[in-house]
Amino acid sequence: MESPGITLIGQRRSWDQTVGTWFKAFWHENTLRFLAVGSAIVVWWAASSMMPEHYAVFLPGPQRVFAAIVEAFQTEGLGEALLGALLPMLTGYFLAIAMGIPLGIIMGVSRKIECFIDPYVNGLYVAPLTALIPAMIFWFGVGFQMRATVAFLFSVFFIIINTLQGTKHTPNDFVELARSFGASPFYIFRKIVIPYAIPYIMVGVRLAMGRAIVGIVIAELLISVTGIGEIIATFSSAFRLDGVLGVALVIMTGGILLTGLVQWLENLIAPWKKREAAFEE
Amino acid sequence: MSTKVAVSNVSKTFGSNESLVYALKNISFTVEEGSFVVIIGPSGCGKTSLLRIIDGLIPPNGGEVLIDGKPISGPGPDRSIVFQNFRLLPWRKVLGNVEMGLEISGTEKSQRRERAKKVVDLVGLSGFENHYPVELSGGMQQRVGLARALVVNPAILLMDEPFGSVDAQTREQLQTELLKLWSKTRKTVIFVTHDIDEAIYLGDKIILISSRPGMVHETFTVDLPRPRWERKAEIIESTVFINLKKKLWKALGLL
Amino acid sequence: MKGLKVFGNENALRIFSLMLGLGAWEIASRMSNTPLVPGPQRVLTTLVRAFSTEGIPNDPTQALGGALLSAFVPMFVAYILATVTGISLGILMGINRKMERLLDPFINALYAAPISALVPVMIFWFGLGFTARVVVIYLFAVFVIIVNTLQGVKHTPGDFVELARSFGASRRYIISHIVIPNAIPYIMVGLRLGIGRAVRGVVVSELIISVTGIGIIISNYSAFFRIDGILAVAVAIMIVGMLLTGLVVLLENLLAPWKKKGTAFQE
Repeated sequence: MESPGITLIGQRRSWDQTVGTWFKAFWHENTLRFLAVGSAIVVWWAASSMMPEHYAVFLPGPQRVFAAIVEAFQTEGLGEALLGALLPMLTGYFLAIAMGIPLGIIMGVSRKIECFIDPYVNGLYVAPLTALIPAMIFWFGVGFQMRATVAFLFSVFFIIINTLQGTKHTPNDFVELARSFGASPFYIFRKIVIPYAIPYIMVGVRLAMGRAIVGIVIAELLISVTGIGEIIATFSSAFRLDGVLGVALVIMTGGILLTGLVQWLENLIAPWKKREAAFEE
Repeated sequence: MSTKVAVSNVSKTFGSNESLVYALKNISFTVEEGSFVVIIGPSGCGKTSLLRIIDGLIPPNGGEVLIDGKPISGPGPDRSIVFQNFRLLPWRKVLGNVEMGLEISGTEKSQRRERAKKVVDLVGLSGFENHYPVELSGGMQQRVGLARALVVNPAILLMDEPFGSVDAQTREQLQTELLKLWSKTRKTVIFVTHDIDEAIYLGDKIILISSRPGMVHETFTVDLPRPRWERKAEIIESTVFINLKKKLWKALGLL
Repeated sequence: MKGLKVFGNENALRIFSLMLGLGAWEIASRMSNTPLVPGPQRVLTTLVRAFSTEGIPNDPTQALGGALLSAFVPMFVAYILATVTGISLGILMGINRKMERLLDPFINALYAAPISALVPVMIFWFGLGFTARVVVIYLFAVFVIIVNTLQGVKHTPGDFVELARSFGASRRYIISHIVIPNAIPYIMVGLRLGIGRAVRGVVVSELIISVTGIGIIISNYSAFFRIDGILAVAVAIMIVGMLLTGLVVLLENLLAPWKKKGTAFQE
């Protein structure tokens, strides 16, 4: 979709016209999508109301799920539980960024350091960290520290590897160009290597967010004595599918919003030009 | 010689109403059967669109193209096109690529193979039938493209700056080979280029298209004897060649 | 580092680093002398032991080999299902713009969302058995396959389509001979990512739907504070995961050989 701000002939439109065109285009692209989601909800509602009495618990309608969500927030303390999961997750995540990016850069710049560290990074990258969560529950308990560690471990390797990829693969052409002007290694590093690596780093940051969320959700599910896991367990044992589904939807929506936020940030900082990412999960 | 192709008042426009842009405007010319016609013009003058219109890939917004007196309505077995960027399917080997046209028109498999092998031989690539395009040089890839266009035995061969993506030496080689092939098969050729030397060396007639909007500016006849590859040095230095080149330079300079 | 000249190439450096790391870990574990910090040697012996029947504490009927097998059978089923349905759906959405717009809010949402959140819901609907595991693993894998297949179909170069049309090809020919072969490398990427996600699905489903198999084994080790056992299981899963990914890469090379052959000619 071309920029609505400039027409073929070259005159600039007014801001109102631009926004108006954007809205028109948005609706044109998306009417079918909204229709699809809307009708899915309607079908869901219809199906749930048609369920025979005995099986009604297996397909609660959208209205009941919504009510259950409200109940979860008001009575069961879903809000605090979410915060209790979100805060350690963000802590671990930002720590992973703070440590992962510098490490990735150092590895990208120095081949020796890369070779020294990369068996561990690659090994842990493919390791089933999920299977280690029970172990971590033993080592760290079920509090803030444990969750933050989980988020950290799940995200850090993605950040390191993507940063490494971006730093390593600075095209030689550009480096040669700078050197032909007599640039110092420091200049090359600051003005060529880093800017080139930024899109890769942002991809790593985005993917790491997804991974951190996955780690935290699994941790929460396994810790049934407190937090979100406890709320789900409570609903589960009371045979309240509306509650279980409701909490699941809240978590999933939260996950989508968070990753969407990071994606938006990524597009802002570094519009991604490459076709394939260095390491997609 | 009869008129094989008649382009009659062809126009191609983009946009609509207030912002109508003419890529091509009232283009008319004829191509005699068995002749080699070159269309030359500056970049962006719509000559590629013109070739596509003649091939039937895009419809003109005005006018029509007549082949043997009958208007065309789409691509057909009588015309084949060779592209500048080769367009070889990377997942098929050379033979598989050459066969493509026959495959689409429903020729039976063993016949396809045989005919394809013959043409691969003709363009000088025997031995490479089972290579992937990625394993071939640019010149070789274009030969595959040429083979692919020839194997369906079209009456008319359309070539869209076919040698624009190869280096100068390969280009000269391919030009000579093209002339040899053409003298053997005597197809009607419509060749688009922006290279003046190439146009004069190859063509019987040169049609110069101006740009913005693309219109027929002038037509030149190339008064050089054939076969040309046997006396290339002589031809390039001849007065006919040099004068025509000067005329074209001037015409292109004015545009 | 002068010592580097002795070793020469980079792989030597990596091996050296690994040996250093493993050695330091081993020493640290022996020095600390608590079962909570097992060294690599202990993990290895536990791993080997676990494959025999007496290896697992408290449950002599479980062996790691059998548990792994029974865990990966639902994965096999789910992955095949995900591949078949995922590729078909991806192609359908790629060819038909309306289909794409209709389905893609759901597909994209589920692709980005943490699927594990749905596991309790799946337990509710499907109980704690084979079906539940298959469904969970299917959901883990299918969306990445759909998204990548869709990408592959959408990125059909217009040049090739025009080429086919110049020979008078029908839409059917274009889809089967141009769109799909072009999409194969993208589909392969989807399959490779899909298997990674499927393995994760296996682990999650085993941990949460843990009536038999790996989940129980991990619980057993956990109950006895046998960190070495937990690590051993993790290593075993990791090895299986790597083998499976290797298989998909092999398949990738088989189905898309033209991607591997570099340029024989340098212009």
